[in-house]
Amino acid sequence: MPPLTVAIPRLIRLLLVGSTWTALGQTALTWAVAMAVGTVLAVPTGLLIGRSVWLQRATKVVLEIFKPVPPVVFIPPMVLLFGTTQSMKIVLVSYAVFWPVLIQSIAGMESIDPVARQTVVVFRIRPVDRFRHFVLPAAWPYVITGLRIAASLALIATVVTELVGGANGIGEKIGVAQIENVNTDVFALVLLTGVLGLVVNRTFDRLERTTLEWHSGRS
Amino acid sequence: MSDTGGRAVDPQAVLQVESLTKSYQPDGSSPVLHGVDFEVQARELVSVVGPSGAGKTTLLNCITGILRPTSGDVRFAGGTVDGPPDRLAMVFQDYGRSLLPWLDVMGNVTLPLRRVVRDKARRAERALHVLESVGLNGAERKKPYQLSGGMQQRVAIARALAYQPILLVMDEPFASVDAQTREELEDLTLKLRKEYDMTIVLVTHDIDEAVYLSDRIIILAGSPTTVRGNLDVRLGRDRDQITTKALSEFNELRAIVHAGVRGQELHP
Amino acid sequence: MMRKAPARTPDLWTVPRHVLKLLSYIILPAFLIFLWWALTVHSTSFIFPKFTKIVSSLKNYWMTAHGMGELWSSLRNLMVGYAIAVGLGIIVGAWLGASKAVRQVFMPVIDFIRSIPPPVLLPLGVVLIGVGDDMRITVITFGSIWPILFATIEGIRSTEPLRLSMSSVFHLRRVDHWWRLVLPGASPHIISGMRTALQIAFVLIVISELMASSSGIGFEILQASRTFRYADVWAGAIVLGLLGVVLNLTFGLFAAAILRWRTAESRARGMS
Repeated sequence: MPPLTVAIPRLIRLLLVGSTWTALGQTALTWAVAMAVGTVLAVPTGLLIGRSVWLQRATKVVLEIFKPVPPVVFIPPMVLLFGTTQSMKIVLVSYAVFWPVLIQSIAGMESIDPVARQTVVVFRIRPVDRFRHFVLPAAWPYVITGLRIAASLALIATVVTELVGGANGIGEKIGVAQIENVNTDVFALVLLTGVLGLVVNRTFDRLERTTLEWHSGRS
Repeated sequence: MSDTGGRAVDPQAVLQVESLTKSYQPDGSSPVLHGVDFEVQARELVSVVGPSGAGKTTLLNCITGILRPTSGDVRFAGGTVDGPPDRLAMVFQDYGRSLLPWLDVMGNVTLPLRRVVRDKARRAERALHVLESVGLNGAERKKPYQLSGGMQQRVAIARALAYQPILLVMDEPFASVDAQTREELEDLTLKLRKEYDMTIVLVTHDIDEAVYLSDRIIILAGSPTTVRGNLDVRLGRDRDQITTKALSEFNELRAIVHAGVRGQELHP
Repeated sequence: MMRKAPARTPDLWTVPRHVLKLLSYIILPAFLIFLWWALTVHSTSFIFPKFTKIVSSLKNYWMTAHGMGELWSSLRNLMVGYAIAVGLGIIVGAWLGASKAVRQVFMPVIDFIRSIPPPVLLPLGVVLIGVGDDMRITVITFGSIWPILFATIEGIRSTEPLRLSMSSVFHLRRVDHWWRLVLPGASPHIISGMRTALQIAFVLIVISELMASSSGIGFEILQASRTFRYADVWAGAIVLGLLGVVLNLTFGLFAAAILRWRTAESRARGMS
């Protein structure tokens, strides 16, 4: 078992190689695109659902079935069926992003004070203003929380598509190193993904914290 | 009524606070309490009265060993207090937080007993006995949230009683209940004190309560907080919410304590 | 002058209203299933088999003794790894939660390790331990322990200060202090961490069986894809979903039992 003293120098050596950075870039790109796609799909859907009692009822069964199942768990069978083209990767990881953001967006919509809602109706405030002054401030923190959860999930999902399906990226490199029994590489690359995960976690943690502070300061 | 001055070390006193000074600054400046001096004899009920923020909590924490004094001494049952002393029980103001919601009444009352009484049956017996004394017969299996505020505080009192302490310290115990319940609990305290021959220190901001319950009142006031008065309360052993409070002596004491708390001169 | 009693709405109108409400719950799931069936009813493609084929795969493959046996093999490893994660997570979390000094030493390292995406631990596990149930259990433990650890720390740090004072005044025994005061108080946090950990463990067992295994639901799905039995793969995905739901429901029951005091208490408080 290669101790840290061997793994870290190896990591540094790997970082000097172009292919490592290419792989990192591919992982990061998939992550970013999927985050965007998933969010763009989930936020409006969530806000719409949260707004309409009828929609809430209609989607309740589906949501309650999919909520407890980690989205990542579906990636292996889907990867086996459809392979790992670039678009497939994005679809699968977006799926993992979609659920937490959707659930949080719905919660954010539901958190709007019913009295505020009535006020809006009574004063006949225009939808545009309604959105800006009532919906957005209330739902925003929830959406950010959803993004935080989705961010680390998306990284996991991306890595899974690479590990299991062989898509290009850090996960694939680790898989290859494992099969070829290059233990130091495996260790080094695992450390690298740890750094990647740390960056993602810290960034979104801070984003969430500042949003919540700002939000509670306002209201 | 008399105002007693400084005292020498009294081996009989259950609790002796001597020149207690406490500051939260590392260099000991701007003390919260300064030169606090008083003692509590066995079987006395002593009230400590003062305005909010007067450092009553700080004093309590020094007595119960949670805080260490900057200078001065706290002596309990002969030994110097250095950390929570043994055989000292406490009833807290916030019964909601001090009782454990996942335990039933029996569980809450016997929790401190688990260390001193190993036999489960004997623990239960002791608990049932005190529960009856506080008027909570039959409530052993109930959970705290099923009880009213007054009843919850009775559970806290029962817990302290079952512990068989040398000294019972009560920290604004009736501040969070309504007036009616407060009177009931005050009378309960007097009854228990007789029944169990207890020594009690009661911290309160309610002057009427202090005069009604105590044998002696320690008045804290000023900044830094010092002992402004140490009054004997001679209202007899048997007290009653209506007759005792109608006595002229009661009102005189009340006025004196009021003045003392406001920082005015006391006229003994 | 006597006023006539207001006419009562005929009960006949409430029935359709309830039916409509029920329909609104069912309509979407029913529609989606119908859609799936309709889109694939004429399918001759391999990857998108007819819906009926998937259903029959569920019946004839997964719900058989063989299928259930594989499921059980996965569940067993999952449970063992998870149980160890819970035990260790609570104990280590309690130790870290109690002492700021210890936390300051270990937290940076822990923060880093828990940022490693759990699936990545699998290749690491393979090279360190090999293939086999031991490896799977170890990886599940190391992947899912972190939410429990953090939740325990948080739960312990948020112990009511008044309760800590009470414990110190009454000189509660150490075992009583932990077992009857601190840990029950921290249980809402711990349960929440355990829930997240279960999801991680579930993902890990499935992926671990794709990589280095000869049994289990993940392996079966892999085999099905290798032998082009795509209906079995789809059905396997459905089984995974069902398994997730069942795990969550079971956990929900367990959590409700542990936190019974809390639901009853908040209900009582809400009413007063």
